[in-house]
Amino acid sequence: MWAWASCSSRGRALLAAFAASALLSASPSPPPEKVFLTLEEALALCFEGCEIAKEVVYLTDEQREAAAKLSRVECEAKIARPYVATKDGKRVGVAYVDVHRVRSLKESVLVVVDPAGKLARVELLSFAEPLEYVPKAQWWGQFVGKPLDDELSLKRGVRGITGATLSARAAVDAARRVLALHKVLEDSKS
Amino acid sequence: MRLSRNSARRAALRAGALAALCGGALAAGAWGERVDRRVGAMGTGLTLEVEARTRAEALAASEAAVRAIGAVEARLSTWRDDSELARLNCAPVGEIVAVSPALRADLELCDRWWRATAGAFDPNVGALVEAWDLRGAGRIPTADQLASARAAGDFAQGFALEPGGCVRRRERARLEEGGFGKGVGLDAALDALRARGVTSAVLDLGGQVALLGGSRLRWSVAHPQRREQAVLAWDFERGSIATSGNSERARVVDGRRIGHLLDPRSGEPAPDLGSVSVWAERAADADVLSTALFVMGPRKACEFAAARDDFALVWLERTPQGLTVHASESLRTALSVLDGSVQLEFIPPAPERTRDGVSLSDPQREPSSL
Repeated sequence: MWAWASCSSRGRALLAAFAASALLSASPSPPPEKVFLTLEEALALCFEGCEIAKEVVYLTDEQREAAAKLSRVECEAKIARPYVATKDGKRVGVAYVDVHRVRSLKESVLVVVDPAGKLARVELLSFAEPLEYVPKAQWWGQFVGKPLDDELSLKRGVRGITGATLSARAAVDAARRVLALHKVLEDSKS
Repeated sequence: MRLSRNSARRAALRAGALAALCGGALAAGAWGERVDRRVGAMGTGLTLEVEARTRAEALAASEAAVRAIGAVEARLSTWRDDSELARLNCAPVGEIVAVSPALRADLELCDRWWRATAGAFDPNVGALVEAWDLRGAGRIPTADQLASARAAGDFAQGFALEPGGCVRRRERARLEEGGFGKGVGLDAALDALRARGVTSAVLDLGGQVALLGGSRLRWSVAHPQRREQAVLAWDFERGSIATSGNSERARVVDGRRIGHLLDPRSGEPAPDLGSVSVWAERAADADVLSTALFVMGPRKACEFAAARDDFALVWLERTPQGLTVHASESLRTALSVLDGSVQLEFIPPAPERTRDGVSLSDPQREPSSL
């Protein structure tokens, strides 16, 4: 009896496992995340020959509210991790990683802010959506050299992407969020 | 990662098929580690696929390419005040301004193509760009505003290269890098990659593609008005393809559509009859020529292409019947029609062909081929 029951339950378990795997293989699975650069690689490329210090800042509610107000984008993160690059004792830039959703999956972007508070570089680190949703190449460059002001929005200084508005909006929001956060952190230091 | 030539080619074709959907394509195949990067550069975006023996080498080479483009931007961008070209644009009229060897080479390139295209390419259009407000919302200038902008003259009237530098000769003369800057940037990037021993790379700077190495790339040519629709596939193995058209950057002012490509000879926006793609060995030549041949219009452009062998042309002309493609004879085996309604015509070469003003019947000149 025990042997039969055991055999039967094993069979049922096998059948269940088989059915589950069949279901899984039939349902569409998200494409694997495309990793363009690791964070370490990106930092080393952006700040060649620099010393890079990783800071961890626990954001107060006031700082998050200030960043959200400045950027007009929700600031959900409770921790900021600026990577401060210095060369010969002089600061050359601060990098942040912004991770955000595009449609339902995430992309991560390295954003470098120069000492004047302008975007110095935007580089895609990883992208989990299908690659046709990557913001078109010509679009990213429009950020570079821009400070945080009204121009850094979809309907003004930065053009949207036909057919990929979600990607465009996500990228604009990321740029605004990083610039705002950077300003708030710099202001609190001073 | 090591790819066989066949698998690399399949990968390239797959990427090309994808590109038909998104209006661009990147694919390459070679033997080594590949780095794929998306970076903002030169007021546009840069996609790099670089292969080298190791990932570290590919990363370092790709960064050298990014920085080379950055250096070109620092020299040529008129969107900033501190570039060498921006400073030249502000120089006192009649005063000789020292220019770097790199900027001199850029200006010589402009001069060569300005002469060869009889002014269809002319970088001295800064005043016209301002008059039409092409960097803003667009504007239809008054007759006085247009006349004032045209007082800048043509390239030779506006600027003169002297042994000691460059002279700005007219008050309204201002150079605009839009017709050649990306190409110069891509050439600089390719040179940086070659200097680091890279043998396979695909770069895309704001829609202009450049290829290094022996891999075949299938590039999709989009419909002039519906950029998401590929109408042609174009196989090539080296050089660069640039495209000019008005589908993405035109402005509408008082109900009038204003294209961003101006005809320097008239001061008016060039008629929007379709789009032009040009292949050339050097990216700067492809960039300049795509602008000039769009300005010329299909008939003159085909005549110009028939008489030269140093580039290949694809002119997509909108006609009442649909889309007619005029293509250089040298592309006969390189092009595939993806849309059955497109009519493809090849341009017969002229009996006497020239390159840089030199007859190709000269036995010392070897004609190039794709």
